[in-house]
Amino acid sequence: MKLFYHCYGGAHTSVTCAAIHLGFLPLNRIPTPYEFLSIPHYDRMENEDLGTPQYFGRDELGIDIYVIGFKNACDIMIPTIKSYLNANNIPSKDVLFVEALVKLHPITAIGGFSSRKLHLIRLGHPLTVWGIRKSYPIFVELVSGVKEKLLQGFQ
Amino acid sequence: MKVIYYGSTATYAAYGMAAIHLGIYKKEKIPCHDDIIRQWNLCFNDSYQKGNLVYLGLDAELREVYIIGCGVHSRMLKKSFKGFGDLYGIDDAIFYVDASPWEGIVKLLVALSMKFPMIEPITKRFYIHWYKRIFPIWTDRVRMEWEKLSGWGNS
Repeated sequence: MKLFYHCYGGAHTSVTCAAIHLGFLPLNRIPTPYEFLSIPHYDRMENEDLGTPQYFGRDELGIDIYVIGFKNACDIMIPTIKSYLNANNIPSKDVLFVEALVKLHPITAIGGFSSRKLHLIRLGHPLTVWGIRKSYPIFVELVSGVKEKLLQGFQ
Repeated sequence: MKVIYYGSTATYAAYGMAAIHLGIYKKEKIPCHDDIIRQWNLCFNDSYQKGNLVYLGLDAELREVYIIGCGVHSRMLKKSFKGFGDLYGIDDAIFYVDASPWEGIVKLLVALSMKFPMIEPITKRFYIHWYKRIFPIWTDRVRMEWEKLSGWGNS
């Protein structure tokens, strides 16, 4: 089974959720800004890579975790991918998509735009981290819910 | 091998061009009035048909022909198919045909008819007029794509 955390640019919120899922970021406290620097793919996804899944790791249940950016077209892209997999005889129930763009802090959006679109990384990167730290409990709650459901599915 | 005709919506030019490709519509002859009305109804009823890869049939060279509506996200669609194809080891080649430049005024006519149902008889007449003009262009385009496809398959 493969699980895809998706967001607008596949660079911040989806990466944060994947990192929480795999234990790169803690569940019980808000990580320091330096901890975000150590996450693979954080603030790295380029515009031309949108739509391409990036492998993040494998969790304790053996599920492969990926991050992907869909801009604002997840309602088109998810059925597109599922129908493509169906056309190739791959059951789409083995593919899970989780939207990580929940209650995005406006500062994260501004930081993401500055960093990824305007390439003002020095300005954008700290802003994304600041915004994500502000809404960090929401991501923890989302990922915990996902993991709980996955665990129930496996039992 | 797959041939995918894509446009902003699957039922506009993508369907018409794929139908010519498959020989459902004869290249040398503009479809009859009933066929044009049928396609108008298809455009009208399924104008929100996006993100669904629809199989239309096999062409004379036994290539699978599909249509899909992807809004303005064709680049991301190609990236996704490539990314997920690599992920799942799908080695079936895909030949994309962009039908969106030949969608013309259909989008406007369908939108107007939906907003103001009482003007549908007028928009339908415009559609029939437009269809008769665009059909030879679609035919030429499909012939060009077919030639490209033959060369592509051999290379």
